[in-house]
Amino acid sequence: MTPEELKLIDDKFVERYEDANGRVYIDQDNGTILCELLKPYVSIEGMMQLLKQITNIVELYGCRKLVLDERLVTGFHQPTMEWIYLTWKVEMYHRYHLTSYRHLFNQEPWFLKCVDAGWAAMRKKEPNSVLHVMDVKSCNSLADALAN
Amino acid sequence: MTQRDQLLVLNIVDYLIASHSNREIALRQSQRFRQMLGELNGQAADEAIDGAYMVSAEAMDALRDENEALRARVKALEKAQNQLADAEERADANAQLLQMTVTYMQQLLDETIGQRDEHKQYLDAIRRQEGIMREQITSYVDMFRMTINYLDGQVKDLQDANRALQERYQGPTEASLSLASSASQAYFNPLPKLKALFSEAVYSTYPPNGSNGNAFCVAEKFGIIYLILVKSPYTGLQGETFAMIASYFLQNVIATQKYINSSRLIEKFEEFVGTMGNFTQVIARNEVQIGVCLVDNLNCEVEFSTTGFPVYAMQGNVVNEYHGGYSSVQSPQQPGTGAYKVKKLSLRKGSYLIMSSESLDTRYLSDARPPRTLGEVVQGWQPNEDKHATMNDFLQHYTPENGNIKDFLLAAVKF
Repeated sequence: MTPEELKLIDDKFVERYEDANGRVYIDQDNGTILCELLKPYVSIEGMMQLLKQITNIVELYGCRKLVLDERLVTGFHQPTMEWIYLTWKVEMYHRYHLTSYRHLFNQEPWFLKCVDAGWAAMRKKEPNSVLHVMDVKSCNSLADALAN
Repeated sequence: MTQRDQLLVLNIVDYLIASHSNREIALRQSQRFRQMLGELNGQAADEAIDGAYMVSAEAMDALRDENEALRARVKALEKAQNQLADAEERADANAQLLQMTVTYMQQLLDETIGQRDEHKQYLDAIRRQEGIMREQITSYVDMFRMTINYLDGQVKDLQDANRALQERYQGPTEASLSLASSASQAYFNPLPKLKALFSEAVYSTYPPNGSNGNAFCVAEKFGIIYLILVKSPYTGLQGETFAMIASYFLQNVIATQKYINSSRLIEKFEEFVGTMGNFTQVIARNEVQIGVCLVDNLNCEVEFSTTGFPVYAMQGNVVNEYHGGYSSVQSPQQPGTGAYKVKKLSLRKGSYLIMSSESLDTRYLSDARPPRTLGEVVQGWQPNEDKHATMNDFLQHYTPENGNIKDFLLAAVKF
């Protein structure tokens, strides 16, 4: 994260959870959760733990937007990603009305292609999922993700 | 001796045996009792006492022997006792040593167990890390495989779309090319004019039915015959179009100028090509070459300028090569193009002037015939031979060895 982004987090967010794989912050005023992944690859177990924490926080504070800072990530477990997108996000939508997602991806061109491939696989798997009409976007900066 | 006396003697004997082991003490005691036995008659008393003394001496000997035996037994016992004490002492020492050993072994065991537990923790941590790494590697591999399949699908889609576009435009493109080739050959075919101006003329192209971007034009002005060969890298419809435009332009320049020499004609062509939109960029990468010969047929003199390929003159069967100036036609945007060298040749009657877009040293191959160069074919021309037919036959059975040569144009005139 840049110094400006760190300052932004200091000003607006409160840290609610931290482990070796990531940190979770919350901005209660704007109903936004920020999850920062800290490793190039987060194991399935680690990812599940983070999602569990996010679920608890959403349940507690009723947030509407989740920002996932995955700029350090260079690899992912596709079946887990599919579960997150097609099951977890949909469940969060129905249960807690968490509708907006902003992703900050690693900008390496080859990795973005991998992300595209993953999205295409998900679209092919469940073309009628509500995920495809939810407010999911990828952004280039944290400020952009928080503002839009 | 009365009974009473006998009893007395017996008591004395008993007393002596029981109380003393020392012979001297026993003697003293016997003297005492002699006194006591004063009442007894002397002989009886003496006999009793001697008897008692003998018994007591024997008893004392026995006692002594027994004493000695007891002493020996005591000594043995003492020795045994000492040995036992030694053994006990040794046993104590061994027990202590054993205890120390046991204590040490216990400590060692405790340390080993501690280390084992520590190593077990390391092993568990390493195994956990190994599991995570395996998962990570597998995930990366799967991710890349998925992406490769996705990109392959995209490539295939693009190829299908490209194929569909090609099929859609193939018909019109081929029709346009055919039309352009026909128009080019019909309008710009130089052979009739060459045959009209020279005693003999040869004009061959490869492939046979198109110029493929090369152009050859013939013009006459004030008795000067202009023979111009333009070599371009263009093919297909683009090539035919370029050839037509180039031919038309050159003929127009010659027609509208009173006199223009070979170098100036090339410069004019250079300026013109530089303005030709799409061709400008292509010229910067690929060379468009031009050779211009001004022929005085009566005097067998040739003035020529070329930008790349040479002109040839064949006298007898000897072919000579003549090079001009600058290597490529450059656009006006590039400074320093300048004029091209103007060279002159004086030939003899019966000589051939040959212009070729490819070097006469170019080798051609055939499935059924030995390889030949273009120059060998030209040098093999016979006087009354139909050279046009010879060239056509050659081009039908031979292909360039260099796969990059897709086409060529050869024109030859005889003085």
